Parts: sequence; structure tokens; C-alpha cells
Amino acid sequence: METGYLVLENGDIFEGKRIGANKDALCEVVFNTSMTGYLEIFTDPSYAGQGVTLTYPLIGNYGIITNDAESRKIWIKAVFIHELAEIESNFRAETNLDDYLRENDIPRTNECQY
Amino acid sequence: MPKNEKIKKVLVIGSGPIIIGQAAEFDYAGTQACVELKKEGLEVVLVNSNPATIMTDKNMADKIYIEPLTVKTVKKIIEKENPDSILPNLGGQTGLNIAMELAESGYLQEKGVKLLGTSPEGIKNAEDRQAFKDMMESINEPCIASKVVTDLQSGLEFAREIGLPVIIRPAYTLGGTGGGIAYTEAQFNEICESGLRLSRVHQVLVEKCISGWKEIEYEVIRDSKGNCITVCNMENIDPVGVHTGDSIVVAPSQTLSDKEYQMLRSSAIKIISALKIEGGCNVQFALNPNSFEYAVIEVNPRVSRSSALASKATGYPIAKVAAKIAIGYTLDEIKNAVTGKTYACFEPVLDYVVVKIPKWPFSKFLTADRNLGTQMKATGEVMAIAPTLEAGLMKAIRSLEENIDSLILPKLSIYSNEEIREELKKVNNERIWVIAENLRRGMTIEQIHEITKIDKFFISKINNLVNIEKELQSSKLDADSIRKAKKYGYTDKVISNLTKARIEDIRKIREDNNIVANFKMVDTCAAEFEATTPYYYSSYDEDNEADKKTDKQKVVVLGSGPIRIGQGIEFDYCSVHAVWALKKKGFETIIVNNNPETVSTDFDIADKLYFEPLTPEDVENIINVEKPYGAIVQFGGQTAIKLTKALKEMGVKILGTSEENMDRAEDRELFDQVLNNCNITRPQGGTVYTVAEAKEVANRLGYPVLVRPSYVLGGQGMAIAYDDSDIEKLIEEINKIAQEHPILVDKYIMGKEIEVDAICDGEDVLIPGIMELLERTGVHSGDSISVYPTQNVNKESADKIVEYTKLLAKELNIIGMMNIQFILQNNEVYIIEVNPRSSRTVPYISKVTNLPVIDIATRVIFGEKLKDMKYGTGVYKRSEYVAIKMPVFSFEKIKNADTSLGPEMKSTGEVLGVAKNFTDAIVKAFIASGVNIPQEGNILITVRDKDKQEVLPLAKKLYNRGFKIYATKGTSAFLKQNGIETNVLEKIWEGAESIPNLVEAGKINFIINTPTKGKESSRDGFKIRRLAVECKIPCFTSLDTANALYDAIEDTKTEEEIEVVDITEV
Repeated sequence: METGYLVLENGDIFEGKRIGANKDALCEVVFNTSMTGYLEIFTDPSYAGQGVTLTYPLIGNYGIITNDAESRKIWIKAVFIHELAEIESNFRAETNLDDYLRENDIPRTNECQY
Repeated sequence: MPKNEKIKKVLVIGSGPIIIGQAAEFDYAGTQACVELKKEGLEVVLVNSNPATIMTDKNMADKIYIEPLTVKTVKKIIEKENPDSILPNLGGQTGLNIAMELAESGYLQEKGVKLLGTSPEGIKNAEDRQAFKDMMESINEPCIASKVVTDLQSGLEFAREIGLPVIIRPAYTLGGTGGGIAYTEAQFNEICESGLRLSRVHQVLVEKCISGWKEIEYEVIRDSKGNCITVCNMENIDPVGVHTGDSIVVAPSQTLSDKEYQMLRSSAIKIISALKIEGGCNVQFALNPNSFEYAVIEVNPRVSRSSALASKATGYPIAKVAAKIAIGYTLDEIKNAVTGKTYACFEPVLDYVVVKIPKWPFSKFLTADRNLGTQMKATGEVMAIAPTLEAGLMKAIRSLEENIDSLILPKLSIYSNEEIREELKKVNNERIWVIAENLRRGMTIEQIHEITKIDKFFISKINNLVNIEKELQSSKLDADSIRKAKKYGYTDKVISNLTKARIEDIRKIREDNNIVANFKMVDTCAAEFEATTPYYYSSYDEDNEADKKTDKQKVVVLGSGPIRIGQGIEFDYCSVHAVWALKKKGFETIIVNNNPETVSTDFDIADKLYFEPLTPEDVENIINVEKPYGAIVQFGGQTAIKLTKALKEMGVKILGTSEENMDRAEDRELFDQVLNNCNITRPQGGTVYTVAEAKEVANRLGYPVLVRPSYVLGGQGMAIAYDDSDIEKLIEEINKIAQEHPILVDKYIMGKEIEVDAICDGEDVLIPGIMELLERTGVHSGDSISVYPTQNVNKESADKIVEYTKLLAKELNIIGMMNIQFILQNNEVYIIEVNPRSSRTVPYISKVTNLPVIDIATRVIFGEKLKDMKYGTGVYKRSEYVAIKMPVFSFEKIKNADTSLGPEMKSTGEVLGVAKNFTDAIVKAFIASGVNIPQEGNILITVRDKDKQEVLPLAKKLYNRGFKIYATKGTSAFLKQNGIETNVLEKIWEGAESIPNLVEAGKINFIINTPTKGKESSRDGFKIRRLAVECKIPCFTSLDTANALYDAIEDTKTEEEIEVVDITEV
């Protein structure tokens, strides 16, 4: 797994493992403290062009349920999470978060430590 | 709405003794409530029968009654104190039931007393099964197909209608007492019958069994304006079918999508609003894992075990906020103490995972049924906080103190693949280890899910841990593998066991690569706002949030871990008092503990709270960051004492009695030396490792002998052996767990047991009081009735006891607390043991003597001298009151546990009776412990041969008072010969006059049964004792306890006639 970096304007650098789409993103970094609803956040147009840090550490637990999307597409430019679930477990899950982000060309840094 | 100014004087009802289903969480809730009410300038009157609690402390309330928690007594207190209101929803089910009875009978209205918080109608709608169902139907919230029945036949008809299996839940019982799942009609009859008997209102709910659904809980809080938030939601790893108190629980929920999360949240809010609850409330849901179908399982209209857990999991103090709501405040007016900026109307968010695991008492009850169902069996619980679920699970496992520190349970390795697969079908306390073992042997996540119905997500987490084990076992040990193992919660010791690398080498790699524990803060808001309350958990992520800056010297106080038999709430009392005393002395206090139910883990108590396992490595991580001046171990029970050596090796100063001297008190041979130096005798004995050695020693001493492992608490594994075959059984049992220390075999001396707590400053000794135990030696002191001041000890013996205490304190150079147990036989004083720490009796003796024992001990530890304090030295002045501590058991919760008293402690809690004289005090103590004192009726006596002579005087007295005596053949023949008419029970188990018939028909008031040796559950005595437990009839297995009850009978005073005592005036 390739090492990825989150480099902030003030010079702070956070290291993580990079999975998802293999490209860089230049964006404003914001956070969301919700403990559920990651897909809803990604597809929320108010996050357009931003990179979102999810403060809840376990993400992807219930996979991707496209019906729950807030809009027709992903608006965020990047996502920073602590840990991605190995398996998705929900009766409505269609796919897992990792594949979904890759398909949608969104870079993601896993095991970000904060 | 601001505070209601009409409220001036509030009665707070506590929850009574610790029993299974009602533990320390209500001391935490009650203490928070009392503190808040007092802060608001209200006069607080408190009633609770449990003397080990912090809430019954002098500074917690204005008037404190340690009295039986019965309607009669509470009425007496209301009449004496004239409070204007009652706070009923913080004292568990006990407090709520009493308040409801007072409200429903019209008494409160008559006296003009207002019930604060939720209205009686609201409580009734939540608690009464039928009312609750009707209410849920009216707001369109789904319940499970169910029916309330009051007799067996209609229950059975309904069960047939909805189809088996069904769950049976008795109304108005705590911890689901008497409930269960019935798969067959025979099982149905059995469970339904006992459920009806145990219910206060003779009602049970028969419901469709939905086992396999997800069990989800929401903690909700609502104020009088209708503002409402959910504090936390939690998901049980164990699906529906296992009592939530016996389930492994995670917070927040892990497998719910936002849709499901919000669906249940909305439902919870709708329910609390419909019930018009003002305060905290807990809603339990079952969620079909394959659809959006859900059902409301139950609602608790009060703070609960779950709310204590939610408070600790989030940092949101539910009880404190509930108390403020009760006196009129609304959520938008109450500040969040953690941030100091936000308000109580903000829903907390977590940026970590919380795992709770129950602590079960099965190592105490070898014959007990370990299966888990709707009847709660755990005595306590541990909680862990971590950034990964795996680390949370690992931390919680080692917090349990079961000698297991990973998902490897050694005994499972001997099972064949088939056997281990079979084990998976059992729902018991070992299920997660069995799952891990099956994964290890190649079963898939899917297969395990099929059998257990546990969500695949959780099984995948266990699988991760199993994979890490495998990686550690097979690959080279390097920084990367260690970093990964640490992230997922492995201790160096476990890594060492798996890799066969030496711990020192692992530590070296960790140091070289900066793989160290960093501490993160619990702040209710995922760091959105700055938090001011230092409440920490460890992680192996970067960036340490623990604030190291302070001008003060730091002292670490080690807590006592989960509530278990032998180590209960008393030690939390001591830890909390030590913290308070240290704060007064100007230290920065740091508490380490892992029990979410307790006051010590309230972030308001110490300057810093570390919610961590109490193992050497976890504690060392904290020490490395905090670099304290020293640590105090003598207040946290055996859990803290066990860490002494490790702390010393870390270079931490042990404050108080030194490690060497603690060892001299605990190590058999060193202690013999101590006694020799003091010229004190003890029962002769020896140390052994094997059966052969034990037999040799036992025969040399002569039977009976007392056998016990060293360094244990609550007399675990201790028993009296009468012959060689007993020795064989006992030593084998003890050696099932590898013993680091030898086993002790001592001559059993029958006599009176005396207990002393003492504070020593290195020169002088202060003894708060001498306590006399009513049961003779052989019954564990924690299971004995303890009387202060002594009633039957002459001056000569008392002087000798004081002298010995002084000698031992000096010889062992005790600085702080010590506890000594003596035997008194024919005016000879022997020593049983010395504990170089505070004991179970400290809270009670502090309260009845008015001595701040822990405060004094803490000051002494820091060099103050007793002679410079105002309390004097030697024995403190004798109280005018008699205080009797009586044990309370939870046998009805633990199916097949033997109830006979012996050297191994079995009680879960205690109550206190305080009065001007002995007999009034014992009457109160019996009533508080739930024993009815009969003035007439029938008694069953069945005793072993060697007790027959001894039971005679008691039988005579009872007979002469007009009691009718039933007896088994042998006992009956003996009593007849001695002029006592009895009804002989020719056959124990058959016919109209059989014991079950008599007992179940309620014809027997109490039973006197002394056990023959052996613990086999097939024996008549065992079955009679279990029958008594199931039918809630007192059964005395020690003649001394029965004699004490006779004293109470002779008193003849009723509960109403005995004065209630405000202990602040004692």
C-alpha cells in the first residue's frame, strides 16, 4: 500500500495509507462528526470541492447503499478516515466503500491518525 | 424554565444492597444527584440500606437514613422529615417501586409530597406490561406479539397461538428475574410458573421469541418543556435473547446505516415524549437484520445500568442532568461540564469505540449454569475505550481479571474440531473465545454467523484478531508487526507469548521505533470544541492529548475494577475518599479504573481519569506520561495490591505500607516469621503444592483443616476438608489454574471471628472499632453478620486483640490501613490473616463511628501523625448505637449455585441495621436484607448429625413460642426424643407433605439446613436449598444465622415500632 499525505497550508503533514483513486487533490479540508451517514456526507452538495475528515474512526461498516445518497453524485474531492471496515454488513449493502470510491475517482487516505 | 423554587427539601431513595441486576451504577447516579441537589441549595434527605455506598456519606446529604428500603420505613422517614418532594428515578428499580407504591396508594398526595421528574402515570405506562403495550399501540410503535397473563393456562394457550419459542418476562422484577426462553411446553410451564411467583404483581408477559435480531439501545433524556436528545446508542454484539446486562455491548452502534439509526432514534424520542418522561430513559429495540422491521422491547423510565455506561462512554453525565431536570431546569439551561461551553441539549458524538463486557461470578459457583439468557447473571462489568473495536475488545478482556489477556482460552485447545463446533451452539460466557477458536481452526465468518446469528461485522473483527495472532506466530518480529499488534490491543506479554520473543526485546523495538501509547480525550464532541475535563483513554495513534503541565505533585490512585463477589463497591468508596483526601492535601489526583458503574470513574472525582485496564503494562503507559510522585495501592482492593510489585519495578514510589511489608503480610512463610517476632499464635499449618503434600500436612494437623490458595480475594477456592478425599478434590480444583504461590493448609479452629480495621502511622494505631461476626469461623467474613460494637467479647480478649493489632502494625510497619481477622476460642486469640489494605468493612465502620477513616489513613500516608489529629489513638470511643452489617445474596439469579455458606464468599452486597440496641438493629438488618421475621408459622429443620445437638436449644425456643416444626426423619427422631413435637416428612420429594409441596404452597416460613459435606447437586440438601431460593424462603445454613433470626423474632417489635436513625446525628 502506498503512503499518502495530507499536507495542510500551515505546513502540518499527516501520513496515512493511500487507497482509492490514485491521484492528488487540492481542496479545503473540513470535518464531520457524524457517527453514521458517510455516503450521505459524500453526496451532500454542500461539501462540493472539499476534502472531508470523518472523526468517527470506523467507516464503511454497512457498505454503500446508493438509495441513501443525498444527490445524484459524490461532491467531495477527498476523504480522510481512520479505518476502513474489512467487510460491509447490512442487508441493503450493494458494494463496499473502497470499490465505490475508486469507481467514482475519489482519493482517500486510510489510517489517518489524529 | 429555571429552578422550581417551591422545591426545598427532597427525599432521595437509593437502590439498596448490590445484587445481580442492580450494582454500583445507582450509587454513581444517586451520588451525582445528591451533589447537584445540594449545589442548588436544596435540603437532601437520603434513604438507602447499603452502607458501602458513597451516597450515604455524611457530606452527600443533610439527613441520611441507612434503613430498610421498604414502604413502611420510607413512610416513617417522610413523617419525620416532611420533605416536599421525592426523587424516585435515580435509585434503580427498588427506589422506583417504593415511590410508585407510595404514589398509587394516595399516600404522597395525602402528605403533600410531590413526585419529581416523570409522573406516576408515565412510570406506570412504561413499567406495566399491558399499559405499555396499549401506549405503544396508540402511538403506532411496534411491540413484539405478546400478552400479559396472570395464570399458567392462559399463558400456555397464548404461547400455542403465536407458536414456540416464546420469551417469558415477569413484570416489576429487576434484571429480568425469573424470565427465560421456552422452546417446549414443558419448559414453558416451568419458567412461567416461577415468573408468576417472582413478580410483585403476579404478572408475566409471554412474547414471540425474536432471538437472532439485533439488540439496540438508546439512552434518551427529556425535560419538562419537551426538549429531547439521545445521549448515546449502543449495539449488543450478542443478538436478542441474551439479557443486555449479560451481553457484550459496543457504543455507538456499528452495523446500522444512517436510515436505521435515525429510524430508531426517532422512535425512541417519540416514545419518551409519549410517556412524558422528565429525566433519563432507556429504550431497547430489536431490529430485524434483514429488513427495517423493528420492535420496542422495553423502556426503563429511570437511570439504569445502561445510562451509567452511556455516561461514561460519552462523557455526558445523565444522572446529573436528570436531577437538574427534576427540579425544573431544561436542557438548554444546563451547561455541559466537559466543554464548559456547550449545553446539555447537544447530542454527544464519539470519535472512538466503546466496548463493555460483563463480569460473571461463575468461577465462584462451580455448579452454576453458565448459559446466558433473559435472566441476568453478571455481577459487574468492565468498559474499554479505543480507536479500534479490536483494541477495545482486547482491553476489556484483560480488564476482567480472569487470567486471560487475549482471545486465546487455553482450555479450548483440547477440544476436537467437532467438539469446538458444537460449543458454538452454546450461548454462554465463553462465546467470544469459542468463536475465535473456531476461526483459528478454519471456520468461516459466514458459517459462524449462521450458527450464532452474531453480525458478520463483529465476527470479522474477531477474525482480524485471530489473523494478527497468526501473523505474530509465523512472521519475523519487527517494528511493523509490533505496531500493528499494538494498534489492535495486544500487550507486550501476549506478543511475547505468541512470538516467543522476550518482553525486553519487544520493548526495545518499541522504544527504538517510538511505538508508545498516546492518550486521547473523551470530550463529548469529537474535538469540535475544546474540552476542559481530562478524561483519557490510550491509543497507539500519534499525538498525546494528556496534558502534562501542572505545578502540583501527582499521585495515582488505583481503582478496584469490576464489581465481583469478594470485591464490591466498598473499594470504590475507599478509592474515591482517598482522591478527596489527596485533593485536600494539594496533590493532583489521577485515578485509573475500568468500571463504568462506579463513582470513581465519574470525571468529576479526580483531577484526571484514565479509563484503562488495571494491568502492569496499561498502568505503566500512564506512569510514563504522568511521571507521578507516587501511587497508592491500599485502597483498590486486591486488584490494586496485585500491581504493587510491577509499580515498584517501574520505579514508582509505593505510598504507605511498603511492598516488602505487604509481601510479609501475604506470604505464608514470611508471615509466620512476623507472628513469631510478635509472639502471636495462629492456627498451625503448612504450605503445599501437591495432593500428597496436602494430605501429609492435613494428617499431621488432624482433620478438619482449612485449604486455600494464597493471594486471593473473597476466599476464592477456600474450603474446609474433613478427610483425605476432600483434600484430593480441593487441591485438584485449585491446581486447575496454575498457582504461582503455594496452597495453604491450616488446622481449622472453631471459634468466634473478630475483625478489626486499623490505621497506623508507624508509631501509633487508631482502631475505629472492633467488630464481632455472628457466624463462627468457617463462614467467610464477607458472608457473616458483622456487629459493631462487639456484644460478646470480654475486656480481656478485647485488650489482647488491641495489643496484637498494635504489635502487628508495628512489626509490619503499616503506614495507612490494615485489616485483621482473629479467632476467639476459650479466651485464646488466634490470628487468621492480616490484609495490608483497606477492607470491605471500612465504609460501614466509618459511618457508624463518624470517623473519616480513609481521610485519616491518607493523611497518615503523607506523614501526618495520629497523635497530632483530634481522633486520638488506640480504640476509638464506642458508639452508642449498634450497627449490624448483613450480607445479601443473589442466589435466585444463578441457577444451580449452592447456597450453603462456607469459607468462600458468596454474597454480592450488604445492608446495615442501625439502632440503639442489638435486637432492634438485627430486626432492621433482617428486614433490609429481605427476610421476613415471622411471629408464628412453620419451620422446616433438617440438619446433619453433628449439628443435631446444637440445633436443639433453638428448636426448643421456636417450639415453645408456638412455631410448628417440620423435620426430616433423622432430625425429627432426634427432636422427638428431646421432647419436641414435629411433623415428620417421611419422604422428602413425594406426597402431599413433601418439601416442594409445603414450600411452594408458602406453608414454610423458613428453613434451617446444615449441609453435609460435598457440593454435589444431586444431594437432597442441595435441592432443598435451591427450592428455598426459587420460592424466596429464607434458608439458614449456619445455625448462628438462625439464632440471630431468633433474636429478631424475640424482639417482637414491628418495623413501624423501631425508630429510624439519622446517621448524621450518630
